[in-house]
Amino acid sequence: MKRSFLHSPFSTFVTLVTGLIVLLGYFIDFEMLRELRFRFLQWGVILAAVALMLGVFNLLRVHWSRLRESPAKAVYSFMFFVGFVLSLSVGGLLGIQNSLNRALVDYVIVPIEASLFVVILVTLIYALTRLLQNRLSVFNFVFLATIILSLLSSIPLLGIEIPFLHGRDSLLSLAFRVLGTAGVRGLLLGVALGSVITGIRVLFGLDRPYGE
Amino acid sequence: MTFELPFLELLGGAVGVLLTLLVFSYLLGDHFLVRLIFYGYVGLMAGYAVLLSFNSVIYPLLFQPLLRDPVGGAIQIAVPLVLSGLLLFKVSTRFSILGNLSLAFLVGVGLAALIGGAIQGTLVPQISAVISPFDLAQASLAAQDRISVIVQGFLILFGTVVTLSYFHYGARPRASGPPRRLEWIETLGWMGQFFIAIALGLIFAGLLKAGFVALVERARTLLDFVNLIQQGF
Repeated sequence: MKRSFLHSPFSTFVTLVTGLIVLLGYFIDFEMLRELRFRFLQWGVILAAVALMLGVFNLLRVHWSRLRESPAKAVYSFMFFVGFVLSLSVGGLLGIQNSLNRALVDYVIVPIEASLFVVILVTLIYALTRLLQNRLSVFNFVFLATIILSLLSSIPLLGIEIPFLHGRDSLLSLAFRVLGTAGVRGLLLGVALGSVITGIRVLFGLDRPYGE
Repeated sequence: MTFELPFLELLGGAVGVLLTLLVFSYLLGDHFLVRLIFYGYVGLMAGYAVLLSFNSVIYPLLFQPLLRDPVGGAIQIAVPLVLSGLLLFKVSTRFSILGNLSLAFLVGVGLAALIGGAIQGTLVPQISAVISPFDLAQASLAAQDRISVIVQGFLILFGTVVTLSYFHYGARPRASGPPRRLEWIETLGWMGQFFIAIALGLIFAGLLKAGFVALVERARTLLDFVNLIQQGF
């Protein structure tokens, strides 16, 4: 099969060169590298914005075809277009600071988002009850106990403060601060190490998420 | 019947209350109206995403230099303009290959930013924070405080190490049975699960608290609207 020059080795080379220049710009204090890093990052930001627009364009295309070909789902796609045109016309033509745009945010977007968060809350509580229905392992017990104690310690019940539970200097607060910090720090370091390793693998072409 | 309140506020309040109740109704089951709201919401967000990327990135970085100085600006934006143009080919199935160059550039820059950010933004500060309790420069602290800080520092260091050990997947082949991790790493990883359970429990509790705050805010909005109606009529 004939391979275009834009296929793998060339793309990998471009990724490697741009990635290394930007990466070296982070750690080596050299004027030209710093300037190149700044330029490449700026171009990357522009490309990311264009990619986002392409993504939205693709979404529009999908909904447009559904509007024409699938009568059962057309009404949902129509609603999608209503929302899209509304935000573009109100935010784009009248401006972000316009009172109508602020009303759209306050009376449409915020209620939907806050209500969705409440739906998530109910889902989380349901997930907790499912956890209780299953056999409790020692780690599940620690997880549940942490949640219950953390919730109890956040608000004094009936205005009564228990020395062990409430307050910044309470024993529970200190325990959570130390043990929680250790756990979160371990998780953060694990995520960061994983990101660095995955990044290096893609940078050197061992993995190719951008097509063959 | 007279309205003493601004019409927009009343109408907006009614829309907000209606949307809140409809989204809450999703808890009883998926239905036509709530799906309409979700699709409309996705459309709104897509529109805002386009607006945001145009106003904050594309206009100031691509168009403004050209408007300020047509010749110098054209030179300045030539490369990103060509790369952006090539990226547009990704929409076409036939010419999508032409967009690979831009995508490769974007992946390279993105990865470098990810690696640089992970090292400078997470690894270095977190490792420094693990080390700092043992810093001798803190000798100015009172002896009792110093001991307390060092004990806490040891606990955090231990917790961090055992948590990290849990994610160590290097297993050795065995003559009998499947490959297993070394015994001491297995033990450290087992202890690490306690710290992970506590950390995840705290994160979960934080999410629950934020959810309760949202619930209280929604309930208050509903009550405010009822009061508004009572005052308005």
